[in-house]
Amino acid sequence: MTTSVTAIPLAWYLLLAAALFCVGIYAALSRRNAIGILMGVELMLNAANLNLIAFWRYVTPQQLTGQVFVLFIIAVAAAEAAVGLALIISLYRQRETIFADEVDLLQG
Amino acid sequence: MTLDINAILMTLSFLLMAVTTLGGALGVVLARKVFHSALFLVLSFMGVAGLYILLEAEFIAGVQVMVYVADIAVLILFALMLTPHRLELKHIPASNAQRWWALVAVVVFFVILLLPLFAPFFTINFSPLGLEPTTPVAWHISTADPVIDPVIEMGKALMGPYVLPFEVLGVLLLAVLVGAVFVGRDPGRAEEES
Repeated sequence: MTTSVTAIPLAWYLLLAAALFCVGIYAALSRRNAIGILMGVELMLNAANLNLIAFWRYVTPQQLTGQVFVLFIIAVAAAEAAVGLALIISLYRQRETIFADEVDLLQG
Repeated sequence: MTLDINAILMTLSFLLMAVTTLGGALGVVLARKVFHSALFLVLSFMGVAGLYILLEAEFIAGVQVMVYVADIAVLILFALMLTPHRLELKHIPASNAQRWWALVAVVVFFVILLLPLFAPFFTINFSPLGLEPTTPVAWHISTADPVIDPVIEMGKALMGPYVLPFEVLGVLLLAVLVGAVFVGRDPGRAEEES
């Protein structure tokens, strides 16, 4: 009986998650739009979740620790997105911009 | 070696999901308009949900679709609509001045992330220094079947060993709800109404 564990090596998932994480970092670092930066953060969280689920399936499939952990991360990510977007909307109301590099009040 | 149709199908579906995920992520980065980025983000989330199904974490896949696709993506689209912009004019760059440095840093970071995967090829021999040669520690891959009924087991786990984080999460979500409403409100209109 072939399962996905024997068909696909764990390293493929790790490779994919690493690539996804790097794309997320690049989005967070290079986007000017603050909403684009938040999207990059979400991509990074997804990559971490993918790693956790892959390790759960390949290393400890009999315990639920990995799945519970991912559940918590997803909930915290949703909270982070809600607060982040509220901040961006508030920023837009006050400064008429959501470009992260135009918000430089703290720059000396 | 006989051709195993199951293995081929699984590999193909992994590749399909991987291409969807990475393609969506690249679309997020490369799209000029943030709106298009948000749509690519949904594509990427759906790819990750497919990978969860392939990894036999069906409940997590459902949560992924409901929270990420239905909740976060819609939130992002709402935020985009609420901030009407002069953003996507042709002469305004979508990425900032540090993007080339960011690209260099990200590529270096990716290579660093890859090193452990290819660790057997990079074993460093420390014997001239009098140290033991490093042996890469492989993960012990378990071929056991996953938990029979993960949803029931997860419910028990959330009410059992994980009850404290679960409660803290509830408090966090409440605080986020109140905080997001407070931060996102229109101060001018709030004064008018009071």
